[in-house]
Amino acid sequence: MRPSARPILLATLALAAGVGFAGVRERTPTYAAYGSAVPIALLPSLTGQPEYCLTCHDGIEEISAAHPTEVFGCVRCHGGQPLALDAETAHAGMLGGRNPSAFDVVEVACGGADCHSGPSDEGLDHIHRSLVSLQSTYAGAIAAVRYAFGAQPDLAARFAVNAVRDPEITTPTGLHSLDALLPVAVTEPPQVQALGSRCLTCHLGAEPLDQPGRRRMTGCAACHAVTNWDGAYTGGDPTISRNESGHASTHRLTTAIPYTQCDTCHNRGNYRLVDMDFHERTDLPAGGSASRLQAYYQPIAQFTACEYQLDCIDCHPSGEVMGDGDLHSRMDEVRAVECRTCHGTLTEGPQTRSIFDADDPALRQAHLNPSSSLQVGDSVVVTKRGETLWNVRRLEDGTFELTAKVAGAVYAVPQVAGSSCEQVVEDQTSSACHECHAVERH
Amino acid sequence: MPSKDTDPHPPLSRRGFVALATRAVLWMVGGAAAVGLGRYLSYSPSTARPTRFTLDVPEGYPSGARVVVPGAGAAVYRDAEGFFARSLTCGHLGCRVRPVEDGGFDCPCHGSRFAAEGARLQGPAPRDLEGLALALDDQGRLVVDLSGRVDSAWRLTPPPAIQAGRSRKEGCRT
Amino acid sequence: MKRPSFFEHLHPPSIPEPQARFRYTLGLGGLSVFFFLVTTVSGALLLFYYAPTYEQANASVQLLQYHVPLGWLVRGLHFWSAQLLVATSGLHLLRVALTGGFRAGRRFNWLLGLGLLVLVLGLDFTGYGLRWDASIGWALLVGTNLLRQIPLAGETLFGWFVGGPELGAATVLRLFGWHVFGLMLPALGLAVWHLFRVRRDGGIAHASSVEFPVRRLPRRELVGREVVAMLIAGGCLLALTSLAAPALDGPLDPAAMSEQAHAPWFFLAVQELLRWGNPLWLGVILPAVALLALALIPYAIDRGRLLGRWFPSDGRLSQVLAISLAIGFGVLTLRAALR
Repeated sequence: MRPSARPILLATLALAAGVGFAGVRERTPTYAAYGSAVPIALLPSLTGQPEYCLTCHDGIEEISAAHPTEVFGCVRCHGGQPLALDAETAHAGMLGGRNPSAFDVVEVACGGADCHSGPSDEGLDHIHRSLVSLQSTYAGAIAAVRYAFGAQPDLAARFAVNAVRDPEITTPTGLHSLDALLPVAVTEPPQVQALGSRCLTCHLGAEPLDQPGRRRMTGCAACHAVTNWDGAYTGGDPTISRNESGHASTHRLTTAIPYTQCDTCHNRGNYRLVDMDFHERTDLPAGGSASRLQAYYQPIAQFTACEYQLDCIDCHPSGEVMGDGDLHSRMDEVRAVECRTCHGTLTEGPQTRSIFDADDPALRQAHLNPSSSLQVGDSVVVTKRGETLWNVRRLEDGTFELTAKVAGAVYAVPQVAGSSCEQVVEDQTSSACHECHAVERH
Repeated sequence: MPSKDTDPHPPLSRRGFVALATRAVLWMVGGAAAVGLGRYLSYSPSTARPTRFTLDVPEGYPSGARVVVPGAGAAVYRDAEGFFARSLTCGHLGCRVRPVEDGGFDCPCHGSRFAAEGARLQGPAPRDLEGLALALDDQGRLVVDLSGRVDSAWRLTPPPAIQAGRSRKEGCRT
Repeated sequence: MKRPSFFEHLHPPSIPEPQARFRYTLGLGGLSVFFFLVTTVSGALLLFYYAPTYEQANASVQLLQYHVPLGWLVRGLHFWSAQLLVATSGLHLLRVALTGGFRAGRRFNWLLGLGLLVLVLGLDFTGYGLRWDASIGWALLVGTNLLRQIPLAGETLFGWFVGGPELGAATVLRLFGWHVFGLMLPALGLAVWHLFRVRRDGGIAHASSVEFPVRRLPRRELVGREVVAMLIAGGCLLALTSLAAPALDGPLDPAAMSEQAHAPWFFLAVQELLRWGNPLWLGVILPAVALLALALIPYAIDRGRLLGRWFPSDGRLSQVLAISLAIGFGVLTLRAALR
């Protein structure tokens, strides 16, 4: 007897339905949610291995002109799985989540002798300098508070937020190592314990308070990835929400860092040793709408016109902000720029040096900035500790000009020599200059 | 069962239709499986090698510079007339030539020697080192393209650098 | 007269109809054969892309999952048919135990089936390991360390599976060798032998037909039923694969393993047992004793003679044993899964 045909037909239809399921699944891949119908491959010349991150992240900005996407790709810095096409597998093994410059992973993501962990004399030791800089260690504030409350006999730093060592010391005030303050020992005075529990959101490795105007990333991106007032992303990557904080404003690193980025920590108010509490400045309007003059410095500060019209980095170069590679106890030990660095004194002009080597670090830094036209053969200003201000140049006629690093404007730098300035030549402190040149804020 | 020799085209019975439909579906599924198997087996991962290499902005290379681009098998030069690039693949049998101190190149395989700008000096190589195309990308950086060929006289003249002397503000006074 | 082909020889010309009733066998043995075939064919296709090296193993699975046309389907079919094979094998074991199908004349085949179950579990475990991703690291570590617990032979066995003092590059190659040949060839052999013995021992166990005449099912109809079952099972397998993909994590780094430590589902019961203490007793000896008890059912535990029905009245002891082992396994698995 023949097997009855109807069950076989129905069973065949069941198989066909299964095939249909498979066909539908084949036609609707998960990454189609972000608009791409086919996987988008990137073949960076540095690795030679195809990467498919752009399948979902199509539209994300190139991270910087110095890190071309065609050369680096994505995985070299971010880690992750280059071949995967769904989010969970693709993001497995990523370094630091959305921020590979966070200090716990920066050495793997950004390091290497050819990258940012190179020799200091070639200016390639950015990671080391950042990790031991005062902005990272917070050693000065910690030492000041401990000294104020009797926990140490002088202002030499002994503690940093995390333990750090520096085997190679190149300056007279450099230290060998700092112990970790956290967790704060119970033997410390109560004010130091209060410091440990309340005041440590202002070092580079710390997550900032989640308040408008304080939003920034951590690690290198704390300065180099510009964030806006509400910390939201405004770029072109379709996978990143536009409505949540915790993002840089766009997927770009820059050396043209505006003052607003510095002000996510600086100029926010003052802490008082009396109650070990931070008192926010109260003079700013809400919502980040303050003008530059209002917002730049907090009310107790004294400043000249150029100090608020330029950005912080126009005067404070990376050797001051990122440090010189040594552990220090105070800002004064790294800060070298003064008014006379660019304006000279009554008796002498600014110190300068000439750039004669195409590989000069100052020239390399200048090339990262699209406003700069610095070339081999130019003379630029140096601070009293020898650091080059590549954006202040001496022209052939002997005058000086400054190129603003962020705004791009070019300014003539008035010189003290030959002017009607009434300074006492021996007193070159900033308060002496501010006595006549400070502006009022209304 | 109806006999076949009475009616040359017997109407399709229900049982016959069911059998036909079953067979049709099975053939279609089988066909899809065969096509799928063929596609599955035919995949090959892209073995493309990068052909475009991005370098620095033109200001980063003074006149007289010679830069060997790592991983590209190419060298980029700047002379008084502008930028040009040479492939570092020997025309004899494809070995990668090595730079030597006097500015030229030599080939480790069979001893061909080349002058600083790629001209053939001696050895079995049939021709000079080939000129490669250079361009500027949208960020103003030099890009060397391994797939483009140009002749040895070709130069890329960079755009003039931003000149000083554009409008300057006098001090910071508002 | 048309002579039967090879495929038709796989079945006798007719079988007693009561044997073939779905409510009797639940078709579990046949489903197991089907899933075994699908696993083997899909595995052979995977061989074209899978790279059994430390650097490439996970990347080649990602290539299959995301880039090879229908690669996700082949991988998914392989995974799901393998898991379903373990499930139907276990349920088939339970069915045979509860219907007395191991009784006189079929005792050796029972042992062959047990051996096949052990090999299938080994194949599933080694297959999991071949993914070489972060989620299987702990399972591999624990599983191979359990081997080490076995007295006298432990270190040697460990070496055979790991290929060195600890999990590393050699392990991937070894797992691959075991999975594709070392366990597969004996499994093929046992499977063929097991199926041959079914026929030689008189077909599926059934009540003696001396008492009453039985309708016989001709070969064509039997094959027709099997085809229906395979088509439906195939359709369900395709749908399951399309709706649920097997997991895939980033590459395994034995020095930096993930926080999740989960055994594969069929060994969750063992993971739960191991929470209570001594790994040798709980992880090796207890499962071995359970296996031994199962093996002894036809030889030492069961004394009955009734065949061809569920829960024969003269087999209470073996039924209780089988059901308690099944419940124990189920409860332990559930507890581990719900943690």
